[in-house]
Amino acid sequence: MRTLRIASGVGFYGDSFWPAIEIIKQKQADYVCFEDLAELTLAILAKDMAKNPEAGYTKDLIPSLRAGWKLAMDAGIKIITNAGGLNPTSAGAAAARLAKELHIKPKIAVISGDSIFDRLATGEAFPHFERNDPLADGIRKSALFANAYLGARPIVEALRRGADLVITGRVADAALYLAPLAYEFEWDFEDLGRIAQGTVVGHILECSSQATGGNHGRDWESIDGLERIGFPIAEVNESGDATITKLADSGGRVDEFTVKEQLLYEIHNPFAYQTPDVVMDISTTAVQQVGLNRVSVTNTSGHRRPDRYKAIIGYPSGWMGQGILGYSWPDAYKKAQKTASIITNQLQIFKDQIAAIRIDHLGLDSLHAEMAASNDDLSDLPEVYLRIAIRTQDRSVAEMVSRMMVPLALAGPPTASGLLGFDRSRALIGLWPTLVERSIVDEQISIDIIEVAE
Amino acid sequence: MRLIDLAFSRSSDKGNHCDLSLIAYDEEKYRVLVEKLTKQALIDYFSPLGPSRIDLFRLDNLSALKIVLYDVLDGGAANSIKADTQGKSLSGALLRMEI
Repeated sequence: MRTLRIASGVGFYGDSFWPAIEIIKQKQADYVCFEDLAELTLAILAKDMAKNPEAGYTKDLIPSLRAGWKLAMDAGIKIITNAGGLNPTSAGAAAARLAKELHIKPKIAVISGDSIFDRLATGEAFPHFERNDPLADGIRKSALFANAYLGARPIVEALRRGADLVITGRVADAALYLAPLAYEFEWDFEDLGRIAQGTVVGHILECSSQATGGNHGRDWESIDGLERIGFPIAEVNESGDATITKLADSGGRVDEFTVKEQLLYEIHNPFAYQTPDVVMDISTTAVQQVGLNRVSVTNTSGHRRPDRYKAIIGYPSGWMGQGILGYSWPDAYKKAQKTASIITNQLQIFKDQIAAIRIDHLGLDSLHAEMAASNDDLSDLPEVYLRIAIRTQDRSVAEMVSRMMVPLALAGPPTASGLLGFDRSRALIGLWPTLVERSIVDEQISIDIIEVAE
Repeated sequence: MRLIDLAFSRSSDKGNHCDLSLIAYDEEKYRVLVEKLTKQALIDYFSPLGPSRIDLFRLDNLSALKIVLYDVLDGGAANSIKADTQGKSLSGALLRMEI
């Protein structure tokens, strides 16, 4: 039976792309898929695009193509990526310029139409997909972006038209990996078992090294070679049966537990994980070690896809100001407490503008916060870092936190040191999830092919 | 006994919700988990975070549980002023739970 090899390119915007370049060099994949868009990534790209209308795609797209595209073209490996972000068209143009520079002649497909931003002005309700209340006017007017999650079909169509590189905006993460399987094996999208298996493969690959021993909770200390960790490769047959593996000479590990951990990651209801192509049910999925660094994943169930697309509207949600200041023994914790009380008192003059104040102690309670374990004896800590953060709608108030904390190096308790993290103000961004009619989005999807000639 | 004696966990975000897995080290430990870890116990344990709802799913085929804590991430990743904006460390808080 024919087998196709799909590899993970990156797992988020900012991830290392070198493990993927190594896979391309060793010709151990037929497709490499780069998943760049976490929920909050469009917020980052929206900030870029506000400064420059030609921006809005990831800054890693061109460097990663520069590193691996020519090798991929020579080996017949195709690349699929959602790095187009908010501006796939500009990303496609930039890729075409790079192709000329690299003296390669690819067909580039640019898929756009996931943005529903223009529809915000039409007054549609865009109800919150869990609470069902309509989109507030303030959000509608201030929105930074609004994008639906497309499925695999437009990518399948782009591959049919001969694309060597497919650049998209927002698509469901797993769809990037499902698409080449559906295209090569000519899967029918009504064949829910195969589409669910293709989706489960995508889900396991979409976070790169999280399937190969990275961020692993079971026995992380015994995983060798994290400094040269390999990204996951799925070998998938026409029935959708998959084996997850990695390059033989790479670090990390693929075992039953690393795969299960990623399989279960961020899926909410495991009986009904909603994607644009299928509702995936992993309660039947079998995960089995079949060799060294080889794990089979089979028998995932699928139910009919949802009637509507999920979309996310991003909007400005005020400002955070924060400061981080260190204190050493003796009485490190007591000094931090005193500084926290001084700043809290000073901030009282802005109390009407401040929605929340957080007092954290790095190394003690900043990560688990309300769930932090209690410490019986804080009197003899070698050192502690105090973090104060506020939430406000007023940027100038946000900036007061660092303005007030810095002078305490002289004016507060003794030994203030390590003035490490003064974040004068950071824009906060809220996300409004909603559902939109498929037909409305499908009508606006376009697939443009750029043929690069020398 | 604590959950860390039976299972490992990874957590992350989806919007304002924290999504955690709890994967048993073996089938025997999974049976103990299923028997002892009730939804009510989770509601009590995570009450300091004030979740609006908690889901608990059982996956016998994977010897694993899935837990979702609703509205506990201070508005969600890009909107949170917490140090752990995505709830990535809450897996550890879960594993410290006594059953």
